[in-house]
Amino acid sequence: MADRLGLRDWGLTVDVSYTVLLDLFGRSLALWWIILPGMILGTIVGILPGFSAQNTLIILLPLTLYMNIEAGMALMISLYCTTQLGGGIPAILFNMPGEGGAAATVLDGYPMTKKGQAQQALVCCFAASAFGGLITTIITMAMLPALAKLGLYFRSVEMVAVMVFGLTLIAAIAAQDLLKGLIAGFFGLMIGAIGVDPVFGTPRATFGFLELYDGVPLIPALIGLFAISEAFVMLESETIVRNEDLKTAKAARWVDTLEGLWINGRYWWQTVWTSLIGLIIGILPGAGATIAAFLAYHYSKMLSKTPELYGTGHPPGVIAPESANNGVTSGTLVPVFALGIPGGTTGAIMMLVLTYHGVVLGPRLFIERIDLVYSVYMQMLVCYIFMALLILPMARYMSRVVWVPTKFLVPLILSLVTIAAFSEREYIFDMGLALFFGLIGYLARKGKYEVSAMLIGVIMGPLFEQYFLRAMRLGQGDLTILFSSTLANVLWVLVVLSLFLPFIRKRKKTGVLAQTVRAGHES
Amino acid sequence: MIGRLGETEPPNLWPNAPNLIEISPPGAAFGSMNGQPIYGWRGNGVTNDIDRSERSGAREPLAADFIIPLIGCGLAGYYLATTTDLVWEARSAGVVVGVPLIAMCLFHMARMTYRIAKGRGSFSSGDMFANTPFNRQRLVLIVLITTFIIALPWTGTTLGLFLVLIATMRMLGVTSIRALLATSAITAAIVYVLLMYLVSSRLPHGPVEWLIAWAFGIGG
Repeated sequence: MADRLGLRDWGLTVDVSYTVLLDLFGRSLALWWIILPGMILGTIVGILPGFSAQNTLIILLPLTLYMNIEAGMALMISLYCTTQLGGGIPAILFNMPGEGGAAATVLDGYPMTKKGQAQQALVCCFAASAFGGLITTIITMAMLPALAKLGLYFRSVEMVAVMVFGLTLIAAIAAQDLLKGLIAGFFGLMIGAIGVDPVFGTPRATFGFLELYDGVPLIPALIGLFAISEAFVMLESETIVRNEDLKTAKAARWVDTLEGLWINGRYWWQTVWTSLIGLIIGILPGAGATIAAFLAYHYSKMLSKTPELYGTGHPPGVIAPESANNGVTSGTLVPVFALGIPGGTTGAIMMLVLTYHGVVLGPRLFIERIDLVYSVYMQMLVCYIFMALLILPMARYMSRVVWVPTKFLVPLILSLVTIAAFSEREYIFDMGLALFFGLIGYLARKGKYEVSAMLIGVIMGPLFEQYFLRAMRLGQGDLTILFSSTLANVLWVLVVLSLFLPFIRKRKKTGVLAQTVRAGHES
Repeated sequence: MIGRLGETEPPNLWPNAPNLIEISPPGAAFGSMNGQPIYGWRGNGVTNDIDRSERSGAREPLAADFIIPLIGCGLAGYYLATTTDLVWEARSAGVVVGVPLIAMCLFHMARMTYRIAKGRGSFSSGDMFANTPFNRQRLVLIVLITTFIIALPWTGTTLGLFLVLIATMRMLGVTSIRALLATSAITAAIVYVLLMYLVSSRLPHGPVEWLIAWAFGIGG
């Protein structure tokens, strides 16, 4: 059957028959010997804060360069995809995202754990990651040439709008108090602006520390704001889960894994559309899994009929960010293949390996080495299938960590994450920085400021500055350049809508609740 | 059955909902709408902690609300003050972020002060800085972890980790010597093998690492 996958109307045709795809699938399956170790390593890297897929890929670079191109790419792809899943495990079990992309998972994953539903939360996380990744991989394979063009429409002006849009998410995520959400987010952005300026290299607000010239490192900030501050809160109880829920957690059986799958099935549509958010964000240069996960969480909450359940341990609050951050994995490679431009570090490392093997990236790749492009996506597909089959059953055993008393867990978390803070830049200073952020995070929690909002601010700070400065230089200091494109203006309208929608919803909800309560009293 | 004014706990209409609390006007002691209390879900999104003072009807301690805005104002002020001499490219992002941050912090603090002036809250910090067993434990944990970080270049990672684990676990109430030694030793060994031997991370070396290097000729 020689049907063509392609979009002729757009002038984008790909000469790949189903027979070729089947052959590629078979060849990818045969690479199981490299995909499985990559997955195991990826899960470990994802679980450990401070170890990122990018750093591990760099460490493994000599190995991947030595391997043939297919095996090398299979190792990198399997490691990268599984890292996104692995990051969700500590996020759910300890309120400590292993990766930036899992920062949104803590919002509902950890409350589920506290309710004794760690196993269901992990299953939701694994299934959403696997199926979200599967869906976007298939879509990317079908629409690769068309998707490649999407990244070209997002220039610095549009990216500034995307960043500000991300900021409005902060306010929406911290739905209890819009102002507190914005303060936390802007505080994070301010922290993210510390360091030398990108044009002249002048240090700004570094407090005299040489170690801050490169800016505030993300890993100590993440570790401090989430893990250390949570450890300080955690010591007030005997176990992570409440005593009454500990019995539920201990009584967890295989049927709970099935329940988690059933929950995922119930929200299948959520998995589909949030993974597409991840795919689109993945294609945009510099955006990444963190923004995708928060964006997906925000829209999942905004479009839900029960937004008030988000933050209390609501399964869609786990499904949305997890399917989105795995959706990113398919998108990341699109600009690498189509334009020869990496959207982030992972893309850059993979590009390095491909060019080392003599592959010329860019539009001609689709004519000259189309088999290679699709074989990489087939490897991703195989990895996600393995993920669904092999990692899902492990949820039952992983969830048992919550039985461990906090008098053991708190010291282990505190000391191990302090060591993890060292791994990114290998400065002892970063360990102290993590402890400092732990105190900030603890104070923020006590004042009911959203630490996730702070973290997204810290992550977006340097990116925001980079795009904002580029736009300003293009406009010679004129701010109106930010409103000079149709796409950017559409995004600005969305920003305004995002800010006002929670108010409208709240008013509507209060009205409905008041009516219900009044009706109850009358009866 | 719907809750009435004066009840100490809201009625549990949804038994599985962990965070069912009153969502009446903030600070009001079981405030109401048209004389009736209103209930809904509430949590801080991460820990699901609920401020008990809101339930009990006592004046809400608001000191914690001021801390982050004060730190935020301080950072933004310091940033703006130390970048005034720089070219506009180096200052632009700081101004775009810092000025609104200061404005929002000042507005929020004014809002909180107004609530306190109206008697809906107090300048008290609640139990945040009180001399409670948990706060003492937190303080000791901070001291122990700080000591661990400072002493790391001399103790090395393996020995430092072993000692800090014993100290923190003992402080939190682990009394079994076997549990203390086993947990600390196993964790320190895993960190050594995984991070120092296999990944070759440049974590500080100390007596244990030197001894292993001398005895087995590895990881030195």
